[in-house]
Amino acid sequence: MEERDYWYWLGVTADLGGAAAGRLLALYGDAESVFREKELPIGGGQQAALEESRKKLDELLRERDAYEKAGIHWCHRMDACYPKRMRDIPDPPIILFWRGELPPEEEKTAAVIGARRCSAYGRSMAERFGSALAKEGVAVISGMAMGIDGYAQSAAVNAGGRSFAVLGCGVDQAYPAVNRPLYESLLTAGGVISEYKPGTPPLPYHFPARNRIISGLCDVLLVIEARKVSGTLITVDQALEQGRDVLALPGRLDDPLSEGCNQLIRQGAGILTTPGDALAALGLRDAEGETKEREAGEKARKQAALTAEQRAVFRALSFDPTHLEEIMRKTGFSLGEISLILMVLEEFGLARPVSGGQYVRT
Amino acid sequence: MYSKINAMALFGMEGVLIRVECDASSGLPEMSMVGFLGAEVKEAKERVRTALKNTGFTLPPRHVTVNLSPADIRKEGTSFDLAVASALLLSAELIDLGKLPEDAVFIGELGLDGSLIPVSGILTMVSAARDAGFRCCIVPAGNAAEGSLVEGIEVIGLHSLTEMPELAAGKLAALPCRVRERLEEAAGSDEVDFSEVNGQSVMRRAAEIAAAGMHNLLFVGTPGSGKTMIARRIPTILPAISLEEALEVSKVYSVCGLLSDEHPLILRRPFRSPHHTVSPYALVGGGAKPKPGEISLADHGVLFLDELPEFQKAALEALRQPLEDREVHIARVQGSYRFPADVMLVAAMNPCRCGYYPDRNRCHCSDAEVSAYLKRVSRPLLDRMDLCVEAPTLRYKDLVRKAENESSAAIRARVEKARARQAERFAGSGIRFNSRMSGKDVKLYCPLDAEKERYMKRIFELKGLSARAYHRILKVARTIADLAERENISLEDIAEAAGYRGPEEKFWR
Repeated sequence: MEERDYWYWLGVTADLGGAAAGRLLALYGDAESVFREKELPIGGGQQAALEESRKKLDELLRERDAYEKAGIHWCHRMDACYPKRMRDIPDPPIILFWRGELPPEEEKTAAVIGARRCSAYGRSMAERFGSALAKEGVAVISGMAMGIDGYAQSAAVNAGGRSFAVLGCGVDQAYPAVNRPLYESLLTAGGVISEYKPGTPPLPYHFPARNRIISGLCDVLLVIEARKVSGTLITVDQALEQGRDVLALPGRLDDPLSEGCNQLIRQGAGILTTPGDALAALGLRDAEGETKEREAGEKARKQAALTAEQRAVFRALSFDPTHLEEIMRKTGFSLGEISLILMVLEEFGLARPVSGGQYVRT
Repeated sequence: MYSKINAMALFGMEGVLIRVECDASSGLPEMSMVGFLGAEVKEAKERVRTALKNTGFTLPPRHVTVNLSPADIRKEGTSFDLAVASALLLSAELIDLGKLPEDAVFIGELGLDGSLIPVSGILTMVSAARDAGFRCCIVPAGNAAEGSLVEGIEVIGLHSLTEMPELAAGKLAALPCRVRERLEEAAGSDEVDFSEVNGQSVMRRAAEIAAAGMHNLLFVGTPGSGKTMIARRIPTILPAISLEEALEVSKVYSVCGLLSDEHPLILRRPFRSPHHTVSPYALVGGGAKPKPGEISLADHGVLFLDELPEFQKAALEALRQPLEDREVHIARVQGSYRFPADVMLVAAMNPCRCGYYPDRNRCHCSDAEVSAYLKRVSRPLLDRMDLCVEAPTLRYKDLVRKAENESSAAIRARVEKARARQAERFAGSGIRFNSRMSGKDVKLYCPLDAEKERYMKRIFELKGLSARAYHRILKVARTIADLAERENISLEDIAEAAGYRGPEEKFWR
C-alpha cells in the first residue's frame, strides 16, 4: 500500500462528503491516518460505511487500475499535478479524475457560463466570446451543459482553441447526451474533469458542487445569461468566495434571462462588452486593441462585400429572432428574394436560422 | 303468380343490382323470405305486411316466397322494403305496374303506416341504376331531391304506398335534374374569405402555393396566430369544384347519410376538421360494414388536422397509405371496399407543449421536451408535408388593421392559372398536380442547369438536408414558378421552397 492508495480511498468514499473529508484531513494530517483511525469524530452511519469501504480497498484499487488503463487519469490534493489554482480555494476536491488534460498552469483560463435554456442572443454571445478567447490562446472552462456552456465550448474548439469541461458525473459519460460531439472533441482539444469517480450518475446535488471547480479552475468568470434565481449565480457566489474576477454581459432590462447579469453588474461585477474586457481582466491588455480590430475588421469586410439588397436584409435582422414576415415588411422584398439573400448571409456567417421562420444575426 | 322487381344494395361506395322475386302459390298461408339476408332485411317481412294492410291492400291468403337474388351476396340495410312490397302487390295481382318492373329500380324503407322513409346512399344507388341502363328510379320523396342530381335517369319520389295506383297509372312526374344550376348558384358563395385575414403574409403565401400544387401543408406556430383561420379559408382559393368532383364527394356523404332534402349536393370543396381524439376508423373509414371516414368526406377538399401531435399515433399512421394512393382500401371477407381520398392535408401544431418556443422568455420547455413534442408526429407523415411554415405571433397593429386584404377570388385566379400550366405540362401523363410527381417525374419536369445544380448543392451542405428533401424542394419550387408564370425554375424559387422546411430537419432546434 502506498500513500496514494489511501488518498484514492478517501477521494472515492462517497459517503463522506467533501467538507467532512476536509475536516478529517485537517485533524489527522493525511489520508493514511484517516484510514487507520478507527474512532473518527463522525456520525455512526458514516462510521459503518467507512468501515465497509475499508474492507473493499483492494477492490477499489483494482477498479482504479482499470480506469488508468482506459485513459482516465486522477490525482489527489497533495499531488504535484493537482491544479495550483485549486489549492487555495475553500473546500478543494480531494481527488480529481480527468480524460484528456488538465488546464495547464501557465495558460490563462476563462470560465464562460450561463443559462441552459438560453435565448438566441445568449447563444450568439456565448459563441462570440468562446471563439474570440480561444483565438487569443485563453482556455475556456465550463460545465458542458446545454445552452451557454455548450455553445461557448463548441465555439472555442471550432476556433482551434482549447476547452475544459467540469462534469457533475463520472468523466466516462457524456452528459447531457446532446453534447456528445463536444465531449468527444474535448478529449483531444482540452479535457473533461470531475471529482466523481467514473460511473457516477449525474445526480442533481452534484452540480452546485462541481460549479466550485469551474470557478476554481478559471482566472476570470464570464456570465453570459442568467435568470435571477439560477445555478449560474451559485457559481458566481463561489467564484467571489474564491477571489475570482467576475464579468457579466449586460442585457435588456425586461429580459428575464439577463436579470441575473444586470443584477451582478449593479452589485459591482465588471461589464463584459467585448472580448477585450475579458482579456484586460486576465492581464492581457495588450491584446485588447488587436481583437477589437480583428473582430471589427472581419465583420466590416464581410459587410462591405454585401450588395445593397443583401445589406437591407441584414439590417432587418437583429440579435433577437426576427420572423420572415418582419423582414418582408421592413425590406419590401418578396419571400423568394429574401430566402435567396438569407442563404448568402448564412454562408457568410452573418445570419443564422433559429427555427422554421426566424433568423438572427451572428 | 311470379313477379320480379329491381332493387339496389349498397356495398361501400358501390351500388349492386338486386332482383326481388316473389311467388304466390297455393298452400298454407305463409310468407317466407330467403336470399342470404341480414336481420334488418328479414324484418322487412313484418314491416311490409303491416304497411300493406294499413294502406288498404288486402293480401290474399297464399303461400308467398320472396327471394333476393343473387342469393350469394349478403343483403343488409332497409332499402329493399319498397321493392318487396311492390313485388308482393304484383304477385297478388292487386296492381299493374305496366313496364315499370323492367325499366325501374325501387328503393326505400317502409313505415308501418305505409309511408316511405329516406335511406342513405341514394346518390350512389341511382347512379348505379343509370349505369346499368335503367330509365327510372322510384325513391322515397325525402330522397327525391338527392336522386334527381343524377343526369340521364328519371327519379320519382313516393310519399306513401297509397300513391302506388297513381304511380301505376303514370300520374307521378319525375323531378327535373337541376344539378348544374345548383352548382352554378353556389359558385363563389363561400361563407369565409381570405380578405378577413390580416397580416400573416408568409402563411398566406404558403397556403396559395399549397393550393396551386395540391401540396400538403403544415403550420407551426404559437397559439392564436391564425393557423386555423387560414386553414379554413384554403378551400375558398382552390379552383371551383367540378360537377364530377361534386358528385363523387356527394356520393360519400350520401353513403354516410349526411345529405338532406334541402342540401342534397355538396356544392363546395369540403373542409373537414376532425377533433384530435378521432379514432383511426373514423379518420380513414372502417367498421364491420365499412363506412367512409373523415379523409373520404374531405375528398377533393381539405382535411385539416389541428393540434397534430395530440392525435392518436394509430390514427396518424393509418393516414399514410390513403395519402399515397389517394384512395382508402378496406378488405373484408365479403370483398374489398374502396373509398375516394383525394385530399389536401393541412395540419397545424404548436412548436412545443406551451407553444412559445423559441421565445425563451415565454417558453420554459427544455430542449428535450421540445424535441419529444415534435417527435410525437412520425417522420413518414412529416415527409408527406411538402410545405411547412412557422406562424409569427400577430402584432396588435395587424389585428385591428382595417386595410383591404386580398380576397379569395383574387388568389383563386392565380391558383387557377398555375393549375392550367400544370394541366398543360402533365397532359397525358396521368399526373394532375406538381405534388403528385414521382422522383423520376421531377427529373423530367424540373430540369436544372449547372448554376441551379450548384445552388442546390450549396443548400444541401449548408442545411444538411436529406435526399427526400431534394425532391420536395424541387416540387414546391416548380409550383412557385408556375404561380409566377415562369417556364423554368429560378434561384429565388428554389431558395423560397427550401425555406418551407419541416420541423424534422435538424436546424429546427
